[in-house]
Amino acid sequence: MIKIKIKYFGIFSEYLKEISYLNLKDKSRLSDLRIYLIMLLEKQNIDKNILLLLNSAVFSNEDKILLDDYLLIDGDIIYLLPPVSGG
Amino acid sequence: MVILFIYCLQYLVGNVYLTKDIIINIMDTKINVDKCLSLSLTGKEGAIVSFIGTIKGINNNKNVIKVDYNIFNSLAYSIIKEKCFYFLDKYKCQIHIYQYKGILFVKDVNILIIVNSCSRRDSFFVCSELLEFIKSNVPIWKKEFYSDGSYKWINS
Repeated sequence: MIKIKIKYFGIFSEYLKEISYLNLKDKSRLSDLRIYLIMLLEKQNIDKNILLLLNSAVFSNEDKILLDDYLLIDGDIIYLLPPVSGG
Repeated sequence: MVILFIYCLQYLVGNVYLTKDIIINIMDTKINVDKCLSLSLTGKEGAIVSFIGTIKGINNNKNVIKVDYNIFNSLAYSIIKEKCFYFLDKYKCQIHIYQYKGILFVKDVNILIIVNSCSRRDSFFVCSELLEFIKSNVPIWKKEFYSDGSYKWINS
């Protein structure tokens, strides 16, 4: 198992802040994390709009957007970014 | 010596990314347009194009009271910096970008982009492209608060 930390921005910071650490299977990718988060939130009857946004959200680290095939490693800090709304 | 130092400089000081041709400043103090414009003048440019974004009083048919700008600083700097270098490779210009982070009220300035170059066409083009790029690619989120007590995350 690996343990990762997730941080949120924008609207996600209001709805998902309780989920800050997740344990995932070894060799999990960001695509697995996305599916895991969606499943987790579906169980919580969360606003459907948030689930839709989660599908189109982007993951990043501190200074780079990460693709869905990014292989997660133990201790990773991943940021979940909703669609941006500009300067 | 000082000029050489500035020419060689490429560093991040606090919240400001600064090189000879680029300033990117994500700030939590109000943007002083006059001061920023005068700072951008070198005497070598023939065209200064600036874009000043302000908080509008009506959006989504509602009266806007204030807007909270939520920004992922490190990623924002990284993405904007890369785009600025892309333009500097193609156009001889200087780019200054100031973005406010935090709460602003109607008429306040949220973003200032200044592009200086010898050519007006280059300045107009780069300024416009940078603005569109920032609006659709940089991790900035706006939370608008309305007079009826409601709020909305824009684009969310």
